[in-house]
Amino acid sequence: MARQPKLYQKLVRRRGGVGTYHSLWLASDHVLMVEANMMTERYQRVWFRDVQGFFVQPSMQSRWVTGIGLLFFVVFGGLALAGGPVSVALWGVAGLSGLVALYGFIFARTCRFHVLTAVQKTQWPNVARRRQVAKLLARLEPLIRDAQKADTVPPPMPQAATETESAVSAPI
Amino acid sequence: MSSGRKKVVQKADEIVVYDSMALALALLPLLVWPFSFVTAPAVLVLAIYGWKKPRSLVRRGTGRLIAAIIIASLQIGGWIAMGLSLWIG
Repeated sequence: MARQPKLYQKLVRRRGGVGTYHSLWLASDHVLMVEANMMTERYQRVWFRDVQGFFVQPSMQSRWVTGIGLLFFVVFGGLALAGGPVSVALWGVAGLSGLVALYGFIFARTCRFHVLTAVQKTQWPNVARRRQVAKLLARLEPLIRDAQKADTVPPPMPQAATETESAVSAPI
Repeated sequence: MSSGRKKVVQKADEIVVYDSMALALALLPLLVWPFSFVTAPAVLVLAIYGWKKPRSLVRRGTGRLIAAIIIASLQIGGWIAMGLSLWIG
């Protein structure tokens, strides 16, 4: 039996909390957001022709991780400086925490991403980093533009009726 | 008829993912293994019941169901082996 072609390509990898996660999938004319847990999958489609815009809102989510990393770095670094038999392990923890904090400062700029259509404003929760937003927009923009261009092309003018047609449609 | 059914499935807003459920139910009791006495048969029932049901729009294969069936069968085999070894001696 021939394999069915894949209808959806993964657009943004899944991300979520405890038990529930979101992922985005790309089809030829829409984006499918999947909200899944262990038992169900809920689907929400956003059609390219309906997209009116995107909102990117800065979020403080990454600051928590960065802050905790920094705190651990200071605490464990201080303990390691004080010396003692486990100072090597403390330096290790401090180093790792420092790396987490550094990564947070440089790369992990988080945001909330919303897509606006004529009837709704939907958040795509798994698009949470600025770098993801840039990639996503680069991929979606041409598709949306093409879909909306195709929609705005005016329908062809009705052609003049032929002699036979006019004869048929003419009142008796 | 079948194409009509496919259309309905593709437009679904929410589906029950029997394959994920069966796989989770097969894997989770590995943490607390005595539960597998109950869950392994349940996994088989779930997998057989869910075999013909609409699958996820984004993961269409039967891989999860097959994995769940294999794991549950191994668990049931383990229980049978344990029971036999206790019974024989």
